[in-house]
This record gives sequence, structure tokens and C-alpha cells, in this order.
Amino acid sequence: MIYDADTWIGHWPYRRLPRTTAAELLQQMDSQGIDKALVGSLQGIFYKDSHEANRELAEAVRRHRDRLIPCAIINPTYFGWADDLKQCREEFAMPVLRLIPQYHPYKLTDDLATEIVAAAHELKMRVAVYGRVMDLRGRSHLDHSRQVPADEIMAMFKKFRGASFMLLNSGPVKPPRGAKAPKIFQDTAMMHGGCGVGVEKGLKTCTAERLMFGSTMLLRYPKPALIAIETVEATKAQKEKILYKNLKRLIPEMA
Amino acid sequence: MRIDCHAHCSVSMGPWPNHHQVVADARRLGVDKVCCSHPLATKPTDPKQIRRANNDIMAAMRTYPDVILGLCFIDPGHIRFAQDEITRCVVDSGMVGLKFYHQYRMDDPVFSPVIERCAELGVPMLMHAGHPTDEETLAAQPRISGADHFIAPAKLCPEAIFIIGHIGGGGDWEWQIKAMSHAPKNVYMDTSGSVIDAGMIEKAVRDLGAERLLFATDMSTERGVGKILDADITPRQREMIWGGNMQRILKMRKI
Repeated sequence: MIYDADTWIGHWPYRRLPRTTAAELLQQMDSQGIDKALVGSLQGIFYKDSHEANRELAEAVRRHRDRLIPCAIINPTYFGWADDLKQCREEFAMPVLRLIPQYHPYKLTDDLATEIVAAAHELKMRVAVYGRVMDLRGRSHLDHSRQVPADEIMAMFKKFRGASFMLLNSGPVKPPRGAKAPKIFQDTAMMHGGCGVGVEKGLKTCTAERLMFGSTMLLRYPKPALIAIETVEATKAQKEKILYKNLKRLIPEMA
Repeated sequence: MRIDCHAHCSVSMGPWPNHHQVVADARRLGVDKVCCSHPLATKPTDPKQIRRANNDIMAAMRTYPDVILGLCFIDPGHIRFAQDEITRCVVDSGMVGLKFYHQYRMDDPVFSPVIERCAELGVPMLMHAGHPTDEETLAAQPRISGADHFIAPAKLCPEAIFIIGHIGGGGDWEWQIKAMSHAPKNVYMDTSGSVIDAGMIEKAVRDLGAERLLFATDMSTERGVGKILDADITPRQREMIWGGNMQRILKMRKI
């Protein structure tokens, strides 16, 4: 059983992607043996009104809800975000809010970020923060996005004592300590290197209880993320937690 | 036959992974041979350090003669020393080619005697390369070679064999493919690097031809192997990239 915490459909504005649709994502999942996936809309990052992409996404996965669980993307600096968030949860049944501070004009330490996270929690949504969506070393001249410092992400997490967060496409981040510390679940997409070395570091830093498999397809090739799990020195029980059990527990809609 | 044409290892010096680990990873992922070098990132370089680094690779070759193929690192700025090191490492000790870092750009005339020597010997030259578009990388590597910087020297010396390092090394890989499509056929590109953008290998095959691509990892082992496995190309094209092309290059050796 494999659940993927980090997939996308749609278009990337600076590069042609060979596959963009929900059907193509399902084909890729079938070819890699991946059962279910959390999915977001890539163009939702770039639309001025990202909620239009949430509508598109809800429609695109409507007939595949047994395998594709849609995630909302909302820019909290855009008018009406609270209504949009509510619709994503209540009408589109999206269990996860993806925040993209790399591309949207706010810092996670801003009050607006705190407000949208609190509103998502109120709606019983999980909040997923992207360390980064794209490697900036080859950025387009039109891409003015920023590197989001790990300190900024952690400062936001720490405002919500005892809450669970997803941190996606980021290197391993040392979890805060304490009984009321936020619980941070990280995906393995950025944990790479020699055979299993990146995931091994993730295991040491985050523990097997807090790691989730993530591929970032259809933006990237999925096989490398699977090889990382296959080759990491870990027990069968640890690998099962990473491959599906943790995500299944975190997102009841994945069950 | 799978030949990783761009990797690094270390026996006693660091910072590269230990040669035992490199060979274990290769065996685990079905890679038969690994071309290893020990480049120095400093500018200027110290000939004593270069000699030490190449000795380190020779030690790795002695330990794993069936797996590790040595690439001799040189800084072309040390004109006489570079020639002596080519004699010592390639002619006398069986290293299969050369490795350059970004001390000079590939179209700098300082390379001319080295290129002529490699053409005489029939051995390939692998260059750390890329087209970074972010300020940070450009500041750190002001003399990094893009694929466009290979065109003039490759035309000037058609007998020489050039390998553009890591299509996925970070930077605009689409630029690299386009620029290489203007280079003569004695220029190859390796597929290594941590960037695993979907469609990268397919586009390179379409625009350059599979016969000009060489499988490599540059220590991103899972990603290097995974992107070739995932690429939507024919089995024949995949075999050429895995090792067929590099085998052909290795047979061009004249000594």
C-alpha cells in the first residue's frame, strides 16, 4: 500500500509538463503502484484568484475521489479567502489546505497566515506548508518567488500548540520539543542523496512516526522517491508508516 | 551494462562519500561501473592537493578495479602540471578521462593544450556545467560553463570528446538542451543531478538524440537512476543512455 502526500495536476507556467490531467496522474500512480494521493492544482499557485483552480480541481477529481483527494490552495492576501476556504471544505470536501509562501505575497509570521491557519483548523482541515515548490536555481526571468526560511515556517507552527501540520518538499526539520509542541509530518520528496541516505536522515530527525511518502509528480519523476524508500535502512514497520500508515492516520479521508 | 559516467568518491580525503559506499550503492541499483573523480572547488587550486585528490581516486580504482573507473581532475591553469598529471593518471595509471570544475569556462583558451592532448589520447573530458539563473549560484560559480560554451572548442577540435555535466545539476536544463543542439556530435551530455523535472530526459532524447546522452548520478543516486527508469523512451534508447554510448566512448581510447 502506498499513499502519496504530495502530487499535482495542472500546468506550470514556466515549463511544459508532459502530463497534466487527473487521468494521467492516475496512470502514473498505477505504473508506480501508488494507491491514493493528495493532489493540488499547480495553476492554482499562479491564478490571481486561486479559488478558481480549487473549483477546477474539484471537478477534475470528482469521479476519482476513491483515489485522489483534492487539496485547497488559497492565498490569504486575496479578498474573500475565508469564504473560499469554507467552500473548499464544506462543498468540495477538501481535507487539506496547502499554503505556498514561496509564491504568494506574505510571510508565515504575518497575522494573515495565522488567521487562515486558525480558520482551517476551525473547519477541521490539515494545513500543509510547502518549503518550496520549485528549485530556484533554474528559475524563469518571470519567477520572482522567494526562498522560505525554515525559521519562518517553524515560527508559524509554534503559534499553534499541539496542532498537527504537514511540511512538504522540504529537507528534514528538527521537530520542536515539549508536550504541547506542534506535530510536524514531513514528506520524503526532498530527502534524497545516495541510496536511502536522505530518508535515513529524515528518520533520525523526524522519526518514522512523522514521515510520509511524497513524490511531487506530475511536476517531477516519481520513481526516485520510491527508490529512496526501497533502499533506506529501515524496518518493515517503519517503511509502512512512511508509505501509508501515517498519512492514513493524519487524513481520515484517505482511509 | 549501466555505466555511471559522473560520480565522485573518496578513500581518505573527504568530502565525497566513501568508495565502499559508492560501490555498494551502485551494486544495489544495478550499476556496473562508476566513473569517479575528486574535483577541488577552490580557486586557485593547489597542485599538491590535486595530486592528492587523484591519488585518492587511484586508491579507489585499486580497491574496486572492476567497478571504479577513474577520471583525472585537473585545473588547466596549471599548464605544465596539468599535462604531467594527464600522463601520470591517464597514460600511466589507466584513468579513462578527465574531469574539470568551474575554475575556467570551457571556451577559455587556457583549455586548448588539454583538449588537444585528450584528442590525441582519445579520452573524454567531463565538465561541471549548467545554466543557473539565480543570483546565488551565479555569484558562487561565475565561470560555470553552459552548454553554449562547448560549441566553439568542440568545433575547433572535432576529434575531442566533451561531456557536459549534469543536465539536472540545478539551472535551466531546457537552455542546456537547446544550446547543445547547436554543438557538434562530439559533445555529449550526462543525465545526472538532483533535478528530476518530469519530461527532462524525454526532451533531451527528442532534441539531441539518445546517442548523445550518458547516464550518471553525480551522487544523486536515487534520482539519477529513477529519472532514467521513469522516462518515456524506447528500450533501445534507454540501453544507449544506461551504458551503450559510454562503452562506445571508452573504446575510442588510443593508448
